[in-house]
Amino acid sequence: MSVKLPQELAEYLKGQKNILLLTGSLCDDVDFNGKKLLNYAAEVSIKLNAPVAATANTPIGLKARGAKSVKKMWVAEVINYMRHPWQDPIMDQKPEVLVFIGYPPTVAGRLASAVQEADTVVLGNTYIEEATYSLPQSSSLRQWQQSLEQLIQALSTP
Amino acid sequence: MEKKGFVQLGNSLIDLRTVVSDPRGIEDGLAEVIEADWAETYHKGFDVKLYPFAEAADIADWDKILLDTYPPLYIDRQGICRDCSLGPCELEKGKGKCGLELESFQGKLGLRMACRGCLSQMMDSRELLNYAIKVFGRDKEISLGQRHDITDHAVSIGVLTGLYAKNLDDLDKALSYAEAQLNKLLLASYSGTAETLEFENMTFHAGSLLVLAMEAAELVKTGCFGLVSSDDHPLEEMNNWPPVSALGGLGNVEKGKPVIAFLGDNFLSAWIAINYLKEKELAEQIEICGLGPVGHDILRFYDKCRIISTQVMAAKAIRTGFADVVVASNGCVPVDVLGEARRVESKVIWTSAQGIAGLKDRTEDSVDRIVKDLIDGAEGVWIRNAEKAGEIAVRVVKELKRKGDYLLSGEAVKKEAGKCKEDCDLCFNVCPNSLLLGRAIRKVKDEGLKALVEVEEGCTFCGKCEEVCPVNIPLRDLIVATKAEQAAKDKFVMRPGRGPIPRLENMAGAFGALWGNCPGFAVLMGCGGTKYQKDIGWIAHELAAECSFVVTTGCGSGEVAQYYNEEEQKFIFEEFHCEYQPRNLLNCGACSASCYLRDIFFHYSRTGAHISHYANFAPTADLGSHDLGQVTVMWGVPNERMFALATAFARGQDAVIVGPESAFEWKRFLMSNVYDRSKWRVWDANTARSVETEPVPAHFIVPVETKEEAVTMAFNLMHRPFDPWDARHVKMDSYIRFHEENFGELPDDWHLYVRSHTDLPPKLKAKLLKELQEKHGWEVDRLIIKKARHRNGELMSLDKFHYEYSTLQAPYFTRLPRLLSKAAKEKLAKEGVEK
Repeated sequence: MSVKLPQELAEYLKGQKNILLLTGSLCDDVDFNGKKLLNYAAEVSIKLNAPVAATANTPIGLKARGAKSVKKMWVAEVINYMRHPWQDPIMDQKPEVLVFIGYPPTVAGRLASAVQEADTVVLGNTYIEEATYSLPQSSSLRQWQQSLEQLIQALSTP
Repeated sequence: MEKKGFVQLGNSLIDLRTVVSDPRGIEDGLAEVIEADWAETYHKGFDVKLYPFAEAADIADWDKILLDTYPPLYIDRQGICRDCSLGPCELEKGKGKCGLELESFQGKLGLRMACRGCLSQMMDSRELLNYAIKVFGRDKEISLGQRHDITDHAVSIGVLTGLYAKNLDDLDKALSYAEAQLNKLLLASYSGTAETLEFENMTFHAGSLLVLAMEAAELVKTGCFGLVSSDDHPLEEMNNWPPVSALGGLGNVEKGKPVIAFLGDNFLSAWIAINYLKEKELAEQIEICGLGPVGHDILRFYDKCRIISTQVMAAKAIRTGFADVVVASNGCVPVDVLGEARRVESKVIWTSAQGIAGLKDRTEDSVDRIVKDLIDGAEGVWIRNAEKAGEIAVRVVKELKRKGDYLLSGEAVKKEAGKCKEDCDLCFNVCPNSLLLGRAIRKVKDEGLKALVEVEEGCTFCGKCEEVCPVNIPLRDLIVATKAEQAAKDKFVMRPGRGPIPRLENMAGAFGALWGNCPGFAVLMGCGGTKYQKDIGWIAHELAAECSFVVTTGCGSGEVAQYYNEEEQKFIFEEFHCEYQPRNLLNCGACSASCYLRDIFFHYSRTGAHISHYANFAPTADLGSHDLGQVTVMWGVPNERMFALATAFARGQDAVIVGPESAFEWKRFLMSNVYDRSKWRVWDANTARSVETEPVPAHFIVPVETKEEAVTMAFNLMHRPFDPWDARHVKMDSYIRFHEENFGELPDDWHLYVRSHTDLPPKLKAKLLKELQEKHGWEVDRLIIKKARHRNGELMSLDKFHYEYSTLQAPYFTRLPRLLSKAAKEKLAKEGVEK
């Protein structure tokens, strides 16, 4: 629905409970001159102290990067569970915010459109209309990287 | 038959009015089916209700049972309906003016998608059938070969219509029924105001009609036009029949020879052109290539055809300029064939009944005149006559002279690539496969086209990158230049399609499957256009190597064929045998051959319980997959035909996995909640006892992101309620092992599938027993489970566990109450009275 600057998004996320981070296949595929998107995903989860539904092939890499409470899941299963009473063991209560990182823009948009009872945040390279909030449109990988770094820095400040 | 409306079956005289709500006009057909295909004992024990020429609503009870456990998950939800002049209606704010709700609207859009997917096949089947009737007559018997048994191989027709299809006239009746049904569904997809599950019931029906249309096409192609069929070959040949004789890829197209490429669904013009070639003894002088489904049909009568690409990727192939003449028709996805051909001066002969922008209808002109015009410079022609089109293609290709230098030179490539801005990745933002195109382009100045090899493989040729490029780099020309440079390496070998899987081979396969080391059955289909082209071949390889049955159809077989095992130094079709047995890899043929995969599973209800499939969808689907775990992987750019086909497979209880990322463009998935125990109950058909089962298969249509997820999910979805012990432990072994290898942890649902220590794979047994004991509270003594923890929390003996949680003590079970035995229904009624 709207764009938030990295600092604004960090403030919003710091104010939320029951955040679930979802990490998709691009986390393994995209690197910013040596630093993988997966590294940023791990950092976000650590800063937010949020559990990670590690989709695609991301669980092993996330654990290696120090992310806690990482569990292998299939992304459509997470979205599916969101429409039922929450019984999934990854976290006790139904997530109130789903944070997507590492999904192609169309995938992120379609997944966000199916989530009815939670906010959705997409930490991608483009604005996602279907998400509650997304990072600003980046015209380059470098800009996207800057946004992610600014977000993580802002999450670090109390 | 002694008297109209009655059939004698053994000692029973069956009144057709007790079997069909209105048998008028179809008595003879019903009698034929009952006499040939029914078992009297089954009739005595069960209320058999048939639904000849079934409407969607006739199968609604079955569909709703499935949808209750696997409710549709809609993504890409649309909130505004513009389907009528009363709108637009903003459904997120409330019901539309016609009463339609937001969720139902998603179902309606899904139905529309399935109808569209069904339409092109339906039309293609109709054109083919009409031509066959014209040439061979209505009484022409249809057969798939000497060993053909119509009760096995017109199953998708029989299960919906009740027709015992024997000749072209019967096929005409079946197809007419399907067309009329599709009309109704199409109407509902625009003006319907039904509830969500009713739309889904109709969507399922569209899928079933698609398979019927495919079956009609296959019967005509094989029965009238001589496509090779395994039904003409003895079982002992099947281990290596058909041989790995077909060459594919641009690298196998002989340089210097004129090339005709066939694109789309229209098999007829290819059949006529190639027969013309043979007749004129020109076959050695002209290369025949296939783009899309028709190529796989051609291979079944002319194995010199070179498979070049899928339908989805045809535009990229055409722009390389490899083809002198492109004979094209409608297919599963539209291709800008004229636009691409124009760039490289290839001539287009369009053969569909519908026109194509830019080409005039020349059907009535003389062949000589059309050939002359094409040679003199016309871009193409529209010919609605397959015979004429075939001849024109051959004559033009013989005479045509093209320049041949349509690709960007190395220098031009570097110049164009040099325009790319250092800090710009807008192409990455819009690329459906998220290719790092800009980064690759910027490397061209140092590395040349080598820098683009990886992105070329993953490029779907959609052109979105060019639309956003601020400096107007002709990115697709760079991609094509790369493809052309790599063409010599684009070589593979494959088996041509074999057609059906005959009854004897199928039964032998079932025996092999239940022997104890086979996790299940896998079907692989692929439309191409994935980020990593070789992934589908890897998936096929892993599934076959784990002892699954693996069958490919359609463009997917060409995609699978490109997988090369470096260790074995073999292409995948060389590596595996091809009898219908575990650890083998079969190719059935073009997309339409997918009908055989429905047939073999519907056939099991007859083999396993002597339940006739004729006009009898629900019991056939219900019984067919109790212990036969079939999974279909659809890989690549999704299209409506695959959407409808996936729906048909799910209706017959085959689980479908779609991927990778582009599969998320599908409108809806069918996924369960394994944590909701109320959804996992079946009926013991003999006693009317309601039994809780394992939550399997977890999903019927589910998307995945990567090839590793696809294979792991496949092993998960191969689980079935009535798995024999050995089969269960093989499935669990593959599922758990792949999960651990790829994701570094045990899956979280494996313990739900355990019925005893005999289900546990030997290599993992100690570890899993420890986990069962410590994490799930089971009672274990060394390698033996003493007591199991039911999902209700109770610790119980294995005997009680098997009675309360599994179908082990309910060997004939059903999901649908109307399929209970007469005795069980009486028992229920009695209990109801007592209550």
